[in-house]
Amino acid sequence: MVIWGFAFCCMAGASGMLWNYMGWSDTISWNHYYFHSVAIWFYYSGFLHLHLLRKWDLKKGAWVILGGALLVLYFDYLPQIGGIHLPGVFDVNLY
Amino acid sequence: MSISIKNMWEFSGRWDISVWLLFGAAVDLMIGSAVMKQHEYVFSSLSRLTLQEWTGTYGMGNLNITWWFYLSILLLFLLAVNTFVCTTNGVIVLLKRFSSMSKQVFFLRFSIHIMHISFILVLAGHLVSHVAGVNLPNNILQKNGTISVCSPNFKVGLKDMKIEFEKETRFKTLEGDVKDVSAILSFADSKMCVQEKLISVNRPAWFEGFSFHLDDFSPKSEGSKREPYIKLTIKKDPGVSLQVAGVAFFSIGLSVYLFSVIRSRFNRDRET
Amino acid sequence: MRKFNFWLALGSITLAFLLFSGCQGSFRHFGEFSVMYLENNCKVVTDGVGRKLLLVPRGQEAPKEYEGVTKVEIPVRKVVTYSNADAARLKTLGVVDSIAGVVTKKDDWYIPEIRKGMEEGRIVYLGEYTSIDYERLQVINPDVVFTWDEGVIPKLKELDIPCVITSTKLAKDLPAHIR
Repeated sequence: MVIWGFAFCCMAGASGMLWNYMGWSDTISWNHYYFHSVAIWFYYSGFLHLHLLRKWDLKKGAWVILGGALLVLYFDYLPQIGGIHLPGVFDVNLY
Repeated sequence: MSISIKNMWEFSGRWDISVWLLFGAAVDLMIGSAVMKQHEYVFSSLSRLTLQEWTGTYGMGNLNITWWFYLSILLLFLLAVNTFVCTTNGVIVLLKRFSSMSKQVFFLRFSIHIMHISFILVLAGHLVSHVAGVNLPNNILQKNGTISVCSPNFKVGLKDMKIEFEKETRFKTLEGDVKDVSAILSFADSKMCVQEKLISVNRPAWFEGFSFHLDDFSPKSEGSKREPYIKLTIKKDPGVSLQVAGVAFFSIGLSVYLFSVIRSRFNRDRET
Repeated sequence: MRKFNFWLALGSITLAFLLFSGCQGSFRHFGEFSVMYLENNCKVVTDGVGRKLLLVPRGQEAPKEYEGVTKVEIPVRKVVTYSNADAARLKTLGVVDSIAGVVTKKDDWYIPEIRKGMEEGRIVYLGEYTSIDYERLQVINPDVVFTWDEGVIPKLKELDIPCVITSTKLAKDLPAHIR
């Protein structure tokens, strides 16, 4: 599953590079969103190396994947949903 | 400390070094993206300056903000060296065992090395782009105006431009806003050869190794009295071809790998 | 088996990179704007859209490595300003008397020095930003034009008048404009 997710992540990165080049003449967009995505790409790349080289068992690897999921949630998902507002109960901008 | 070349080669090709470098790069870039969020302008100038120009201005003058960027360059360099050594060792072993393994297993293992080599190509392409690229932003062109690019013999002119505005749309607030913009550029080189090319948003033109991107335009609302103009970003990027090659080979390697994974899963399911 | 000193190699590469990067002088940046201080009191200024201008003291020759960069002689004595905000900043700096041309009518100004200057004929109204009187501008012959309109750059280049784009892509750059 992670391999497929990583494959789609690579496709997203490549299409992003192409889009940025066509619009702004540079394959890298110099803002923090790009570097979030690249950091997560490297994180999952590290996990795949550990898993496919069979250096770590699945139990340890599961913790790495969980960490990766939290990173994706924090860096990629939370910025898009904005703040969570429940009047009188919870009113916070999580990002 | 004196180290032999052979020991360094063996050390560079270790799998644990790869993993440390990958996670190290991930952590460094995460820290860096948080720092970048607070100091956008220090890094946004990298889109118009080369790496060495940027180092001489923003980079060295703000080391407390830019340290992570230089660390990431170092980590990626070491990762590229590690990948190269690892891949070279792997390919040598694979070619030695070619006759004793099935084609499927050979392609599966070789596709991984293709992905690794293309990763190095992409990194090299990024470095070449930002060290050897020529970037000429902020070129304003009005209708029938011309500008010279790098030499007086190489001229670019705006022959015509067309701005389409939103009309009769269900979203009333959008009426009068720009729908699309395009321009016809005329290029003349030293041999007096004239060519015309159409450019639009996200649709650049290429001529004599330079790419011409539509960065901005005016007017942006219907009925404006402002004189129409376009703003071009002109760039000569020698690293783009390396990056395109890297992405293409990576896609090929990834497709072969995924196909092999699906096929082996299918064969395993058929056996059970 | 050849041996080499690892630390010497690493140190050489770092030193070469620093030298190659060409650290020239002190550098300060304010949002999109920046100033690089060179020798002989010259400066290279980057405006709001990344255009470079070379500030050279009057009577001095420009540094050769900046050939091709738009030159502005300092101290600046006569300016034309498009934006009321820029005029306000010039007043804050105490140089509102350097304004020689504006694109806002007299009745729309709240800065008394500018209204008085327009009444006395020292400050010229150049017309609306969409239809600037370039002949009048040429007569004024300012040292620099502060504008937000990038469309005038080709015309000002023909007239050999330097211009500074004082606006930036993001509105939140107002503190940087002020600095």
